[in-house]
Amino acid sequence: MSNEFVTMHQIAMEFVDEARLATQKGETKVARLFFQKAFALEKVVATATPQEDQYRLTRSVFLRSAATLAIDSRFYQEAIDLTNLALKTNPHPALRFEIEELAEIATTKQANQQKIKNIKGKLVAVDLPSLQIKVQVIDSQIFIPIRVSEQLLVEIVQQYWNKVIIVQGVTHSDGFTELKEIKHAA
Amino acid sequence: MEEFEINLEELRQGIPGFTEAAGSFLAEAASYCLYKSGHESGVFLVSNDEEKKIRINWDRELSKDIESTWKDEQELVEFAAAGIALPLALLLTSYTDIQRAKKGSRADFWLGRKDENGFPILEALLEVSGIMKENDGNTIKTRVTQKKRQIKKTPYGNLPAYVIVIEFSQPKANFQSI
Repeated sequence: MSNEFVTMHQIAMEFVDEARLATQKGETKVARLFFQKAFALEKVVATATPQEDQYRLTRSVFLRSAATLAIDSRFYQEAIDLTNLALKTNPHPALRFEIEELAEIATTKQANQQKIKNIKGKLVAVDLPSLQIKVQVIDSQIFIPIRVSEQLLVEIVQQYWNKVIIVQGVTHSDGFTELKEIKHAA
Repeated sequence: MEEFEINLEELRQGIPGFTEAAGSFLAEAASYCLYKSGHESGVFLVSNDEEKKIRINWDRELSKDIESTWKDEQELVEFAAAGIALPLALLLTSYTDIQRAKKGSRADFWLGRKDENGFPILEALLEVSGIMKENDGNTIKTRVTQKKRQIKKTPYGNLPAYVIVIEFSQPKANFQSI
């Protein structure tokens, strides 16, 4: 069964070759698609690497490789998650510094990519399973979903339901807006 | 002098860690690069310590399109060197598996073995390099020193590491463990 992982790694490396080729031709969108394919495979291999000590170097190498591909794919949160996982699971000393460097790069890139959004509107709907509130922008039929934490959801609904509010959110690369601050409009 | 043999046709069938497609690609580059340097199947590569002779065999005739396929000499030499160095690393070390390192990482390949389930266990670095024709400004010795220094400088410096440089005109192989 594990040979599937070897094949996945090999194919991931072939996608990386294709991505480099596309980059050389100036086809950046195509390159990113190949990086994303490579990342999807390499992540499976990296997270499947056994935890025993004899795999310490292997695990660090594959996690570092998957995190690099996540950055190439612009999946910065994935890169942060993978570097965190690598650093938490006794990384090999030869790779620790590189993994820390990658974590820093991913965090910086993610911060640059996020956009702060200020919305004035009414809290008119809640989607409990998705942990989202929906804000209707004042004088419009536009509804903006905003992701909130499970702990805050009930409190927000109790305090702000059907009230005019000002919400500050951060829009992530996946398109979702996450709540940063909420207050009553003056 | 100890004698070894690398059959590029076996490389075409895949080597541990490499698919048949990847192996064929490297075998084609290696046989064409040797042919282009004026050698025929059965040519001997001499090791740096002059204690090992490695016979390189291939059966397949080179396609008429091979010249246009491998127009970029730098690319040809890079892949041809890998085509010889990878089977050579398996012959001269106790490692039984090779995995490609991601491009942009500080190594070309990882040497290791597979566990009982076939999962790779990476253990050592392998740096591979090729020279079409050695000259005063581009010698095997200088290339080996560069590669060794390159590895030593990195955080990988404490891992077991090997450098293999192949020169195609004479032809020669320099195999160094670090």
